Amino acid sequence: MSDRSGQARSLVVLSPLRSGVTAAGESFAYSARRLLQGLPQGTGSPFASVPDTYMARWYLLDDVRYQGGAREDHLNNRYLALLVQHYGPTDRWLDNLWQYAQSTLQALYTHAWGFDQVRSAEGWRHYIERCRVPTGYFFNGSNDEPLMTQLKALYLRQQFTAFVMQHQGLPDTQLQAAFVAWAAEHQPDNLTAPTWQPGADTLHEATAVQADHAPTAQPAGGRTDDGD
Amino acid sequence: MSNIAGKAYAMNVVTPLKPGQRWLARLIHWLAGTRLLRSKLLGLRTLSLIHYAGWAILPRRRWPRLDSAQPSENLHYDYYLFFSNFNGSWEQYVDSFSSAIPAGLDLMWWRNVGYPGSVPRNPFHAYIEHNQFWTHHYYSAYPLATSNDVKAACRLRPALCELASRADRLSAQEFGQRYRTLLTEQQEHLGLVAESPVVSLAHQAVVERRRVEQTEPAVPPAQESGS
Repeated sequence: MSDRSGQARSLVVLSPLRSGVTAAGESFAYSARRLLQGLPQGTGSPFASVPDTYMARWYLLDDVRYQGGAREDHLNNRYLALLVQHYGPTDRWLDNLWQYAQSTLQALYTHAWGFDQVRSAEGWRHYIERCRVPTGYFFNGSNDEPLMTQLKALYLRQQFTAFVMQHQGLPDTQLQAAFVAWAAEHQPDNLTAPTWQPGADTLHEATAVQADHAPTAQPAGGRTDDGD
Repeated sequence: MSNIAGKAYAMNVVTPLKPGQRWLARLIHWLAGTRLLRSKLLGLRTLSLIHYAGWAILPRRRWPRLDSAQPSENLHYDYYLFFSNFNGSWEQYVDSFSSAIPAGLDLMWWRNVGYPGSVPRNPFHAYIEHNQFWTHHYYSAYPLATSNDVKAACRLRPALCELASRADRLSAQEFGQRYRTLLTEQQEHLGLVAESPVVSLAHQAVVERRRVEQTEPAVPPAQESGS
């Protein structure tokens, strides 16, 4: 049984959705699906603000599939599945999710049984613990560096490869001067900036200078999804 | 709804385990991390297109029940939850899986109801397709990058940091030598990423809707017939 591979962790959560309908007359599952489909993608995703989130997803498990044969299973509840792969302790990640994506969590998990008693990060962690499914085997085919390190490395690789292509055949003196200037501009040791923005799906967006992008750099002072 | 975040694809597969096999499946999961069975899953690593993947087991009587008013589940089977984040298309992934680690797949899924085996390919495709659940919101921290891009970048960075830390203190000749050594040693880790043709299905739908809104004239309000 392993939820971890090095410093990379796996979180699998199944939250049962309430029976009946919302005040708007929609089933809770339908309403949750509509909310999920309306969430912004990429840099606007609620997960983009949460430090050390490698990958994350939500999906609705509305039933199990019949495989043929005599026994046919069906679920009596629908479930909201949350699957996350992140760096570092899961409790810390859950606290950060609550801190940076609280309004999304409240809008979404209002549709779930048992969430009505969640008032704090501690309550959120306790709720997740009740819904958590242990990962039996977790495979990490990437690496388990902190996300900031990965994003900086991707940024540097892109910049340095371009540098190499642009400076082929230069005399050593000019090459050295150009590299020193390159290093001063791109600061290989500085993980905070310049770097790639989490969730960016275009090169322009990825390499944009992020003066206000504190969450990945400093979990304590990041942007919340309330916009403050 | 989107299984795609740039170059990553999210797969979710939920399948029933044959009765009484949960403990054996757990044992296999545990052994998969040891030398005894690691070789069966070595192909997962050499496939080199997976960011993260995993299997979880949900016993039939342990589905989360958080309120006495919540209906309880009444299931015949325990369930397997498989997830993966991989690069490339669904077909590439499933084909690679069945080609590279057929023994590993059969080991992980062999006690599942209806599992046809990883070979031949078509029944395996049908099994995965039948039991796959679509993702409604998918996030990758680096939609532009593949798993190999991340690994290569993280191997390159320490060498760059080392050279950058002393570049201005070396003679030009010494710098030139070290620079060329770095290129020789790190050449397999260099590379430029480019944007994926499809960022996500949801994103693509938004772009398409905007395009239609911009290219098609707004429908004028119906005019009342005054004649």
